[in-house]
Amino acid sequence: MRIPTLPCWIRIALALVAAGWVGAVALPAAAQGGLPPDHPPVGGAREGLPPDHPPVGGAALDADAAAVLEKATARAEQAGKPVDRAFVVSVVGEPEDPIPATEAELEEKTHAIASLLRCPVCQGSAVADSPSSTAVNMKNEVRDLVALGFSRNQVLRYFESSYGQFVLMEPKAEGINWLVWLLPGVLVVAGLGFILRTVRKLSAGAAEAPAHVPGRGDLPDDPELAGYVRKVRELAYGWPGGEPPAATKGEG
Amino acid sequence: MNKKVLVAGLVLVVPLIALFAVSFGNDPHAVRSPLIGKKAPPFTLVTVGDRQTVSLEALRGKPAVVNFWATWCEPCKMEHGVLTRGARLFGDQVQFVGVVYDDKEEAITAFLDRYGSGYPALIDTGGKTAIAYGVTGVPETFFIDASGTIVSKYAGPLTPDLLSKHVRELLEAK
Repeated sequence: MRIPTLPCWIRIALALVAAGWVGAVALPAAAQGGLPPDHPPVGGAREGLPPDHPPVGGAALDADAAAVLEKATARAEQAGKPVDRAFVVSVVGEPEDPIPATEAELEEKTHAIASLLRCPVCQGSAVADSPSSTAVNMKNEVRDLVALGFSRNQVLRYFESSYGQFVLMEPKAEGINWLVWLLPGVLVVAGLGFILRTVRKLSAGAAEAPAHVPGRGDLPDDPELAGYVRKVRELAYGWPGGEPPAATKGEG
Repeated sequence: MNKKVLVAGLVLVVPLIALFAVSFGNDPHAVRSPLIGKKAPPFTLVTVGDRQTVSLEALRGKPAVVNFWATWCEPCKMEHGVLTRGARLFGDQVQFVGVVYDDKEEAITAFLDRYGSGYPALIDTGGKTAIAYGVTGVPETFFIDASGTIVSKYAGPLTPDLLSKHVRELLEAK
C-alpha cells in the first residue's frame, strides 16, 4: 500500500494534539512535584474542623514540640518581627494541626507547603525552589506558621487572602479554572478522534483505489493523444509503430 | 481543504484576538488585590533612625497612604519626590507612611538624607508586613480609609495625577 504524505494542516493538528498531551500529562505532574502520592488536591479542602473536634495546637505540648516552637519563635524574632498570630487567626481561624514534633518534621512540612506557593517575583517558580529574598521571606513565614500549628490548608488560605489565587501553584478546581483542568483532556480526546477519523478516511481512500494500474503498453483513450504517445515510444524505445514488444506488453 | 485550514486558523486566532482585545484595555499596574474592601492587615513597625513605633491602629481616624518601597528600586526613586510633595499637599487630611522592603538601615538613612523625607519610613524586617499585604514587588501603594479598610492599591510608581486621583477617592470614601 502506498504511504500517503499527510497534508500540512493534518501535521499541524498532530503537533497541537501532542502539545495538548504535554499540557495534560506533563504539566500537572511537574506542578505536583514534592507532593506525597496520597496528597489531597490543593485548595480543595477548605472546610474547618467539625464542632466536636478536640482542640489542636493549644493542648499541652510534649518537650520536643515545645523545643521546636521555642526555636521557631527565637528564629523569627532574630529575623525580624514574629508572626502576628492574632491577625492570622482572624483570617484562617485557630491552628488546626499539632505543632511539629521535630525540626525535621517542621522542615518537611514547610518545604511541602512552600512547593505549593508561587514566588511572586519569579517566573513560575515555587517559593520552595527560589533563592530570591521574597521567596526566602515567604518560606520563613510558612515555617513560622507551621511552627504555631497552622495546617497546610490554613497556610495556603492565609497567603491566598493577601495575594489572591495567583499565589497558588495549582489553580483551584472551581469556576472558570475548570477550563485549565478539563481542556487538555478534551483536546486530547478531540485530537485522538480527529486522528482516527483521518486515518480511516485515508485507509478507505486507499482501498477504493482503481484495481487497474496503467502499464507501459497502455494508451490514452483520446485517439489524437494516443497517436502522439505511439510516436514518442517509437522514437524513445525504438518500438515499431509505438507498440511494445510482445514479452513486455502490459507490464506495470 | 482550504476551508478547513481557514476554520482551524479562525478557531486558534479568534480566541487569541479576543484575549488581547480584553487585556489591552486593562492597566497592568492596576492589580486587583483580594484585600480591597477588606480591613488592612495591622502592623506595628519602627521608624528608621529614631526607632519610634508606628502602628496602623494608631492611625485610625485618619486615611492613610501606605507605600512599600526600597532604596535599590529605581522606580521608587522617581516616585519618592511625588510622595514627598503629596505628603506636603495632603498631609493634613491623609497620613503618608513608607514601609521599606528588604533593605538595610544604612542604605535607607543615606537615601533619605539625599532625597529628603516627608513622612515616616518604617522597617519591615523579614517582610512579614509585605506578605500580609500581598506585595509582589516595589513600589506598591495601598490607600486605606479612616476606618482601616483598603480602598485601592496601585502597583508601580505613582505619578502626581495618579496620586491625586487615588487620594481623592480615599477622601470621598470617608
